[in-house]
Amino acid sequence: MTAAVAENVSEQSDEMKSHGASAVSFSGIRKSFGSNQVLCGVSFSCASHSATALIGANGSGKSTLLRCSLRLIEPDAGSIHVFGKSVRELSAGELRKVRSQVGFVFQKHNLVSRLSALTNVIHGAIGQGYSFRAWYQSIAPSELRERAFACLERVGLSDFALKPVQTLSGGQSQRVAIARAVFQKPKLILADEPAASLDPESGQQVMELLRELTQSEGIGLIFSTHHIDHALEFADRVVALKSGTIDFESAPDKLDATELRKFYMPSGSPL
Amino acid sequence: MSELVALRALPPRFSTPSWKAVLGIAFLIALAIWAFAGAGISTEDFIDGLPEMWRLIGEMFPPDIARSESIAWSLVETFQMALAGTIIGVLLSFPLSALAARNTSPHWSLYQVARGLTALFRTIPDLVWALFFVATVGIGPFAGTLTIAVDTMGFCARFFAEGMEEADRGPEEALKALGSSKISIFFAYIFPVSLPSITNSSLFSLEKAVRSSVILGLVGAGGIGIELKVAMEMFRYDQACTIILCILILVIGVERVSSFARSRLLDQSSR
Ligand SMILES: Nc1ncnc2c1ncn2[C@@H]1O[C@H](COP(=O)(O)OP(=O)(O)OP(=O)(O)O)[C@@H](O)[C@H]1O
Ligand SMILES: [Mg+2]
Repeated sequence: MTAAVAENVSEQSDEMKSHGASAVSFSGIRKSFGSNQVLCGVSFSCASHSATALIGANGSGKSTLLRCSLRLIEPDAGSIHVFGKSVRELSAGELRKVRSQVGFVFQKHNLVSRLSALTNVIHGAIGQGYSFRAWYQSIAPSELRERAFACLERVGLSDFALKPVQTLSGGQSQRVAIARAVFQKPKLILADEPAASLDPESGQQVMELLRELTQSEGIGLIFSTHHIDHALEFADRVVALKSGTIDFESAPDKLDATELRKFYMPSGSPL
Repeated sequence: MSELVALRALPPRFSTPSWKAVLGIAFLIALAIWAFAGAGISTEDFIDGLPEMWRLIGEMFPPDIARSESIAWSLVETFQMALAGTIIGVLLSFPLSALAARNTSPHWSLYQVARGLTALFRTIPDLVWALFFVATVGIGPFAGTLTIAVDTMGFCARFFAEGMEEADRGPEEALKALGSSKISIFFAYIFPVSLPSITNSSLFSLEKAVRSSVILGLVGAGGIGIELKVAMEMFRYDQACTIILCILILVIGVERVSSFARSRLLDQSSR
């Protein structure tokens, strides 16, 4: 079983080479909820080995865009390629396989309460061919348990391995969610405000961990954030969403402070 | 300090009812009068019956414990029936409730069938089920066990399904994003999260089963009910009293144990 998984991974990295270095690309994404047009034609891409910061005011559609990439929300129009595969054309089984190779960190950690932190991390392997053995840590193969424990250690939570997650603080839970994404050995991480509920120090550590992963393992990373300093420090590109489209896209060192301030002002506001 | 005086008129304590409300209340009163008319209520009969009731209760004491051994055995049989029936019912309720919960049911038509079946089990009274099983599998505790099982399914499948439907969508989305199948989502999330509510409903249904199993004997479906029926028909009210006391002990005992188990089970959780 383990061999099969390893084979999957190598097969997938061959595929990636043949499709160039873009881990994920969006083209002309549109999405509205009822009469609320959230995305009206968003296009950009994120390469492996690189980090893209997604910024934008509350309700500008950052979470919606990230969800669309794995079809957790079905976009109305446009195309999305993950590892060179057109996500909207995949069968249910192929889609599950792609999803299992992408680490997704939600704005709200979305852990399974009543289960332990270790089990929640092991859930990272749930789409990777372990069948029922990835449901609970108690029945997981030792290899998974050891690797999951190491991931918890990496986010500083190995002492909490068997604690039910509802007893952890918000920031600790978010770190478990990040450990779960890292545990997947993903080729792409989509992180929706990964540091929002973390104190400045843990936020910095988590961002450093994510950057290290993009550099050492060649992962592509998109993270949304309201921390401009995180965007400036950890991203190779900054993509700014406003009124359903990309307001600007630039390298962090080209960003201008007054322009940024203008960006966050409500459109049409004279202030 | 000057006194506060409102500028506008104080609203009245009671508002005058609308003619719709008056009509509605009149209808409810008429309905109640009609019900009393049909219920054969007679003060005369009640007053005439009072000395009879007094005499009957007098004849119950002191309780006759001569047949206590055979009564004890049928009490044990009653409990065995209730327990076995509840276990079968709870086990069968799992698949039924998974089909009858909106968020776990694999298909709309299966959902409707499961809902309908559960409603059928629940709405037909247990004595009717008992008559049905006595007529089909014969007199004895097996008919009672089947009755309890069906009754438990009507109760548990409904409440299990409600517990499952209460599960938050967030973790479900997170598991979906990990490439999880519906089955894995069920076992790794929905099931553990609704376990407290499942435990609770199961213990309630055991209490309910014990209460209903004591009367199933009236129609020949095993248990202590038959002893009670015979004692009453032979005017052995002192024996009937012993039986009623035994039933009280059984029902109260099971309720006590069940609420103890509930408090112990519900606060341990991590897996
Ligand atoms: N499931 C949904 N149903 C209806 N409307 C939705 C749904 N999800 C998001 N929206 C709407 O889409 C818009 C964009 O929401 P989204 O969560 O993507 O914003 P965001 O950029 O992530 O904001 P924040 O910075 O607050 O996280 C909002 O107006 C929101 O009300
Ligand atoms: Mg968001």
